[in-house]
Amino acid sequence: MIGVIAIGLCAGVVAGLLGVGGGVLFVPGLVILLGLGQHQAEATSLLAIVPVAIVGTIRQDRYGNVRRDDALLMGLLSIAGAGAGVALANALSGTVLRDGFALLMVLVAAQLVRKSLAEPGHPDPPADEASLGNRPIGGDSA
Amino acid sequence: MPLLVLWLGYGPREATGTSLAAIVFVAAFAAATQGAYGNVHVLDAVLMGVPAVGGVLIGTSLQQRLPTRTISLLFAVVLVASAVELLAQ
Repeated sequence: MIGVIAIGLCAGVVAGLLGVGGGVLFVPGLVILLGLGQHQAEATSLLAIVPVAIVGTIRQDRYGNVRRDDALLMGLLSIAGAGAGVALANALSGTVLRDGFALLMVLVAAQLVRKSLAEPGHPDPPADEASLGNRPIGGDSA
Repeated sequence: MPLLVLWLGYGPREATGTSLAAIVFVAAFAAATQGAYGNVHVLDAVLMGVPAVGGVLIGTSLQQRLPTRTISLLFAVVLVASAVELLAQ
């Protein structure tokens, strides 16, 4: 139980700090540390993401960053895709799913490296209240 | 998020906020569908998701205080190592 809480906390810190999605840590954490199967890990991670995304959305909305109509439309339209994706995932073996996920993790790592190396070497802007609150949460692959 | 920026001309902050909102729906529906397959460990999801919220708040508050570039590179290494470990399961 401590393990699960620790995975959640660490994944959240990384998401907030680096903008890397939580799922990329949730899933391997559940598989490696808790011995869940790949399907169960992915399914459980999906549910765990919901509170993170809700809180993130509320915070972003306060800074005026949420276009609600577009979000609702995208969300509702993606329901069909999500359903198809889940059906596909369950049709695939755990091994294939796991291999695909490992590949995704490597791609995220590559993107992290590319982004880090592309940044200019100047120091971070001074931390003021406005910018501290208004940073992206969850990043691209939440 | 990249599609919002590239196709619809969103600024990066709006793209992040809007895509996060969409993800609430996507993840909730996908999780419910997975639940129908019996794959969701609800207790684990709650024990992971709720602390993750706290983690995100901590992480975002640390962004301006830590060398995120160095940490990003280190984390990329962690990710690759974890991917290898995942393949070994």
